[in-house]
Amino acid sequence: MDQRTAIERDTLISYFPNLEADGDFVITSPSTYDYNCIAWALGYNNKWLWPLDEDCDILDGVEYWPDGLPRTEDIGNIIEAFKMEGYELCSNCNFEQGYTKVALYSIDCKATHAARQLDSGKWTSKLGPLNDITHGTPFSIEGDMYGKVHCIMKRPEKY
Amino acid sequence: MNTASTNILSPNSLEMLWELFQKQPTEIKKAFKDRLLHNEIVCNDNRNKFYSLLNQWRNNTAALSSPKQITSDEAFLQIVSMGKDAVPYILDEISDKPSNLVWALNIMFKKKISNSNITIPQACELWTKELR
Repeated sequence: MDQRTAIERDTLISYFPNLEADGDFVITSPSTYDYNCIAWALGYNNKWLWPLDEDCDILDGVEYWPDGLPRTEDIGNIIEAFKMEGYELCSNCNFEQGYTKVALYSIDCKATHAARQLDSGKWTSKLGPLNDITHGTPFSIEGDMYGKVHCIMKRPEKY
Repeated sequence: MNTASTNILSPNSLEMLWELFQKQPTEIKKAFKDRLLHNEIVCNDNRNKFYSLLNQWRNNTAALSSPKQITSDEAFLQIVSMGKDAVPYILDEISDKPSNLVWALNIMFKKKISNSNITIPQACELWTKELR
């Protein structure tokens, strides 16, 4: 591991202390403002997607998402938005062949983050404007920054 | 900024100004020096204040995705409330390292730089071109 990666790793662990004990934690991209967690969970790497309310309408570089739902970041609204993308609620984060799963996070019922399961069964997250990482379970990035996993959703891989 | 460059003294006129200054009574020279010193202190204060707030904001919101949560952070709101005093430092930052600090300009100027779907780094480039 080079020195820069080691510094980035320590920085991320300072924000997400549970990553230290996650043996699958790996940084997989440089930090970038080109996209955010929701976009990455949905498979994009060129958009910053968020359900902007009217107060935030003037912010450059953010795409309002999705059309047709209330403009709030309540977790219930985010769940509905993922349903519009073909996801349905499911009971656990275990890997299921033929399905892609996402974990949605919240603090006080406000959405904070989304992570996506990889074919390997591990999870990938874009940490705001920081790096993409792989982590072993959705729970290893729980904490002050993202709160708790609120729910797991899944959709057929060939959606 | 570009508008300021048209008001910069040439070396010759600077020399003439200096000669004129030397001919002034002592109290005028002292008042002038005090005012220059005061401006320098104010500039340094603004710079220190801006970078202190910037560090606080980055620490508080480093890994967040929600624009609402990022822009309602107290340190960010204080940067916005600095108004035009913060603009040169914001431009220095976003031209060197494009970031969502550009949202401070959206809020200060109450507008988007582009109605197209652009990325945050592209927005930083466009704002820097417009304001420099």
